[in-house]
Amino acid sequence: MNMKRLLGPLVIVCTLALAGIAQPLLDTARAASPDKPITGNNSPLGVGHFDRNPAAAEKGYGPVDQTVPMDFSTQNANVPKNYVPGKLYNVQVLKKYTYATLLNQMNYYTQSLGVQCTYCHNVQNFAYDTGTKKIARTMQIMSNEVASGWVDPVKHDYPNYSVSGAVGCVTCHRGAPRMGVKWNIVPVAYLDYKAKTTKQAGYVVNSMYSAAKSLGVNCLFCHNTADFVSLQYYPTNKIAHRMWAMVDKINHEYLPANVKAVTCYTCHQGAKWPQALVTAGLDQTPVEAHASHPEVHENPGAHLASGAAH
Amino acid sequence: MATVITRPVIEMPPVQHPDPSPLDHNDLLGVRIGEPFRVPFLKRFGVDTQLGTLWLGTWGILSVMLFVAGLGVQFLAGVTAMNGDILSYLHYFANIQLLPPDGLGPAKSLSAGGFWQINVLLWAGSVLCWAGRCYERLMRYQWRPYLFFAWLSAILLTATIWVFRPLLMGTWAEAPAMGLNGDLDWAQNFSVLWGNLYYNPWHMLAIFFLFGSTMLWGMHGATILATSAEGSHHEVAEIKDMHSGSHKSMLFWRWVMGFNANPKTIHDWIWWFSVGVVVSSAIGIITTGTFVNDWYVWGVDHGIVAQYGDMTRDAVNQRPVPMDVNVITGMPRP
Amino acid sequence: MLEFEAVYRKPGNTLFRHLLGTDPFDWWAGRYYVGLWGVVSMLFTLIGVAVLFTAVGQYGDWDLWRANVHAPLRTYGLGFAPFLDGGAWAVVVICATGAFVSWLLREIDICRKLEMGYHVPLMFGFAISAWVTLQIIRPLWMGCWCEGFDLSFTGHLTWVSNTGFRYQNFYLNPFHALGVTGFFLTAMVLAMHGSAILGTYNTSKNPVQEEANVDNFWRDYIGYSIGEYGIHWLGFWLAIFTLVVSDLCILTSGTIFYDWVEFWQFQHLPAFWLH
Repeated sequence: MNMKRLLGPLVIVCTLALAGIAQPLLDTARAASPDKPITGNNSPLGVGHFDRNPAAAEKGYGPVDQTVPMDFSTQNANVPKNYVPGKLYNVQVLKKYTYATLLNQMNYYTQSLGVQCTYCHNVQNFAYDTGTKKIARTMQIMSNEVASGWVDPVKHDYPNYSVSGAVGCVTCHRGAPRMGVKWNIVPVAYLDYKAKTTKQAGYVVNSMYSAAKSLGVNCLFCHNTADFVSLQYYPTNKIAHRMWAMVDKINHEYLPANVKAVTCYTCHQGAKWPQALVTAGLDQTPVEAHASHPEVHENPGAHLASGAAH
Repeated sequence: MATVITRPVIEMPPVQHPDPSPLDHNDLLGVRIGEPFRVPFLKRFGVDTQLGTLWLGTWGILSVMLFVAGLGVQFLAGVTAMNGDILSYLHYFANIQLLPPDGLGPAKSLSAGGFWQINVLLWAGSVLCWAGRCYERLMRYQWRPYLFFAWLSAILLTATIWVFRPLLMGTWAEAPAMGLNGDLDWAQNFSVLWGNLYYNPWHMLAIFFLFGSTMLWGMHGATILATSAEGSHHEVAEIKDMHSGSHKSMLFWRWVMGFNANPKTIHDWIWWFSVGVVVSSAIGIITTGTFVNDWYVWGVDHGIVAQYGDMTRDAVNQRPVPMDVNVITGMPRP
Repeated sequence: MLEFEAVYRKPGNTLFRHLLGTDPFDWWAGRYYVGLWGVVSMLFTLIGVAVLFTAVGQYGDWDLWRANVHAPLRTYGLGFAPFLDGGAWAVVVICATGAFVSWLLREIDICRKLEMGYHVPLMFGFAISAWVTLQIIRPLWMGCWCEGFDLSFTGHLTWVSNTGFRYQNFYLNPFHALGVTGFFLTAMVLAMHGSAILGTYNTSKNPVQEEANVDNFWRDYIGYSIGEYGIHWLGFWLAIFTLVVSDLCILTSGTIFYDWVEFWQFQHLPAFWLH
């Protein structure tokens, strides 16, 4: 037998084997640099959308420089020039706390972000509003808004999901003051598909891939592929639409102009439900998507196509 | 019994047939270039070993020039978008896309669709000139123009996707981007946006013809190879005067499935199947978004697919979204 | 019977006769050759169709487009499913596979009778491989018969749609891309071959001159004429190539690769010239 005739099958088998070897290698490479932006669906350079200027982003971040003298002309009237430890001054958001419980809350901040008091405070005067302290205040307002205005209503509207966790700093920060930007998405207005051309649908498709990767799912998690554009089939689809609007609100109302960086991944980080609440010691029940149709994630057509049978 | 893999080829000197008709003086560029030569390596596959010679001709030269110019524009646009970095251009070669402009007019700038429009013009000119070359050669050989019409039908599908449907829809943004991934993305986005294309009956028909074409090549190619020991591959001669090879080819299918073509009609079948691919595809494309907005809804209306939910569309919003797009990445700018 | 057919209709030389010395079905029914494998194939077909219709009757939807025999539910894995929960599907798949393979063996018998090459059964084997890959090998690899597609018009479309989106973007599956390329290439080469034959036959008194004209035309047109034998060789192997990459396309999805977008991410690792 002419051995050269084996060449063709050999090439096919080797290609397959190489591809099989490449995937774990890629997974390893990616795990080694988790913050490296991985771009969206067939759009490798798509990192540009919410990307930011790193130099500009540095402004107002990082631990407070304790050597800079305080300038009380920039402060409001509640900030005392003579700071007395043990008393509360200039509390604008966390008004329900006593001094002792406020300390607990501050402890929660430091653990969530993996920082010290000096990250936000001037230790000579804890009431003094530094740049990071102002951002922290905005973030606390945002956190309350996200919890009460977006996540709690979802929990209320979809009781089948048995979600009892709460939103806190650690939901996104997970022990780091700054997070990597990953899996960019377009604003929610783009999702209104009827206004689109095929070209514009492409941006949505790219962002949908980002959303799917952020949650560690595929298109079938939210969509009935027979009727892709309709929101009516799965509650996950409707929830995703609301969450998308929330991301827009966070980016446009709470984040500084140079940090429009929140995506689905910021909170979800590859899980269907953000799991970091567990590390904060808060209660969280794991979510089973599509509780009424457990097979739907894997094979959504099964219960639909055989509808006549059941 | 002939082997499956190959078939011995008799060594012959390269041949140069005379031009069948002496009308060449009409075309100053109507010359054959080079000398024919043989590539012995090809012998092992059982295919013809002679390369050349190639007929030039004005139409052909025009076609190639336009095509190469289009390649040049594609390269230029890609490198421009990568800020002149050729290494980046190579790195992202597969993903670099020249997006079409929004609206029907000329693009505002080269990078916002101008490159795309230039390329559409260049490559449209190229394929049309090639059609001219095809027709000129067919007439010179006094053939029936089957090849010309097959090529025209291929152009029909391409023009439907790139020109006719965007014109009907009122925006070039309906056409695919230019680039390796551009057409892949377009296929995905097109199917998602205009309902599920699997419920488009013309798409069904096109897939039927497409798979059918491959099946017919499998059947016809295999039949001829299996009987070529008895000369069934001399098809134009067999049409006039059949011999045992063609007899066996016909009897094989008659005994297997009760029906057989003959050396002439099998080529009717394969011609119409392959042309059917592009023609039914073109109809499926041109009707999408123009006459049928959503193929899933259409499928429900016509009883093809079960109605999974109610037909109300959520998130209907006619508000136009301002777009400022990076033409290469396909993502909106911040 | 065709006028030349009687010469070729002779008994003997079948697989079964070689094995057992006799073949009780070595005869023709009208224009069809029967043969042992024809009978086996028909038996499989009858059983399969009967089961198919029984199941459809039980499900109750006789609509031509939507009458559906669905694959087993996920809960049954690779085990046996009750008749209406996928058992019917399994029987139909087994019967269809049996019928296809018997049909292939019948084609081999006919090839032996006509003293032809075995190219057609080989090609049919590649075609069967697509069915076997989709309905048997991949479900086995993934550990669930539910991975097979439903047996109906709408059902298999739904399956295609779901499978495509399950791996995020199936167009970026390289085997899928090669398969589509193969399908369109076969269509194009088919059109070129058909056009050449239909365009040139009976254009002159001399068939040899016509054949020379075909060679001459293609050399003028694209610089190369692959030849009368070569064009069929090309079509044959293009079709096989298309089927093989199509098999790989579906076989690797969900078994080796789960995300065809991510499959290409290696190109976004830092470029080697930056190291």
